[in-house]
Amino acid sequence: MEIVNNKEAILLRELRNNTARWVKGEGPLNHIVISTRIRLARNLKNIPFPFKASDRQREQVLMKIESLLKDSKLLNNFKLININNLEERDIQFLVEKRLISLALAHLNYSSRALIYGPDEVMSLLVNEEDHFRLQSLLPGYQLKKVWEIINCYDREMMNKIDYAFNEKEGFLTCCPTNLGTGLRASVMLHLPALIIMNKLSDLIAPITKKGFAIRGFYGEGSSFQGNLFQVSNQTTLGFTEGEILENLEIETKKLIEEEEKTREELILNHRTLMEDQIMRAYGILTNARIISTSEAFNLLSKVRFGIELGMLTKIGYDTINRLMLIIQPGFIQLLKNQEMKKEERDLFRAGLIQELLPYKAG
Amino acid sequence: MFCQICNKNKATITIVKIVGDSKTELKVCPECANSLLGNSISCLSFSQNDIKELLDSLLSTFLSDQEGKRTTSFPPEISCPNCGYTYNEFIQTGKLGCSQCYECFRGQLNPLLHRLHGHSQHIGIVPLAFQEHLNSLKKIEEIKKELQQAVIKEEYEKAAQLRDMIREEEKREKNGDSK
Repeated sequence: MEIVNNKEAILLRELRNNTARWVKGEGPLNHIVISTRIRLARNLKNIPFPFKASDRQREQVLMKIESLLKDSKLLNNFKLININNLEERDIQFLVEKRLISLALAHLNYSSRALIYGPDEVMSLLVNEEDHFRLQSLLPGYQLKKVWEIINCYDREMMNKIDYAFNEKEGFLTCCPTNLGTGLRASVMLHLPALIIMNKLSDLIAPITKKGFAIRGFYGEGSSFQGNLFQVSNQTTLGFTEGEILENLEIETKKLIEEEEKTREELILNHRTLMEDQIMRAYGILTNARIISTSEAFNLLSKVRFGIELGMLTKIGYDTINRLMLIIQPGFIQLLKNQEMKKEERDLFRAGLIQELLPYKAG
Repeated sequence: MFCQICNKNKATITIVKIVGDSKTELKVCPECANSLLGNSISCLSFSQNDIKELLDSLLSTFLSDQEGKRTTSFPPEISCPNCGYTYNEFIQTGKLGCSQCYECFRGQLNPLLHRLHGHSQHIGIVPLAFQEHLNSLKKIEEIKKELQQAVIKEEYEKAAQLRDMIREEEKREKNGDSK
């Protein structure tokens, strides 16, 4: 039995054992859409942005939000993890959990913190590029619902905190790319059929021209893996929040429709070939003794495709989502509660996958 | 710090003059900078093409995910009165130092915001406290217009009442701001 004393370690273990709402995999269009996320960039008036602020000023930012956690009914069951007290592998675990950004993990400022609510639906980064980055994350396609949730928390904070704002440029952010609404919405899509049929690059070009970005699983700075793509808005100024979400919806729906059409074509013309690929992937995952993160990630994408096409019925999206997380290096080391070399992780990962996947896929 | 020319207004611009090895600095307010330098754009001896090149280089800094270091200079050096951040530093990092930098560098930032977002005016959510502030400013402006009319019509009793209303609104606005 593990004996854990310090506050951060207790919270990390809780996070390790809890399943975030988005991982449960329910939600509209979940046969293509993994999750919907919105983040808002907010800053305090008169205090320089984190990279320019002194240690004392960053501490003030953290203290401000700590006192709000105590005073606000909406936020008082939220938990706070001070990032500066964590080891590198635990920070990596939080990135893998999609709770903190790669940017926050790579910064070395004092007073960086993660604050999160029940089921990890709402979270807040303190002293990242901006003083506050609010994030809301739900499974499936739920732009409107995610917006309602984050807007509710933002208004609560707005009533109690003096945000840096002016009439012309809106919410003032460290980087002018986030100015105005400070809103970045992203929808994570699983697009294996468009990749197999080599159609995605032609579809992406006009979308990026219209001011949207296509990124990998972990957002900015992450690579593409497992046929997963995040579509997000780039422009934040000169549009209302509703317009940004509507425009993103238009572009995302186009990709969803194309993926659906291409899946139908694949089933109609290459059903056996698809089944073969999916069952081979399942076979490797349930029999391999040593497996790397990227190999497992790509095979899990094929198994997810099998569920999406109705070929695999004994497993659900929740199992695949959970596996996508726990096979990551930081998560594995937290599960073993020790630092592990790559070879050790690859061995342990194969065992983990087989614990969660039934031997016969059905 | 006060303007070194008029000694009245707040100095927000630093003019750096470099002749050979000697460098002199003059901290001035925007009005004195304008009268000293004439048209602020032409005095910088930048052609339209130079400015476009500068903005292009700025833009590519933003659009790149890498933190590209750029050494483009932009005399005279403008620095933010709140955090001391300079426009040159912004060009190198793509980041502003504090919220007041936006007011300080607005002239330079406007074209860039247009290139980045296609717009430079926020139309999204406004914090409630700020909305109240805007309403209050609007109200003061309306009463001032009424006051002018009253004075023209020689309705001095009404004008006095309106003047008191303005003072009261301004006081309320000031107290609200300092909360």
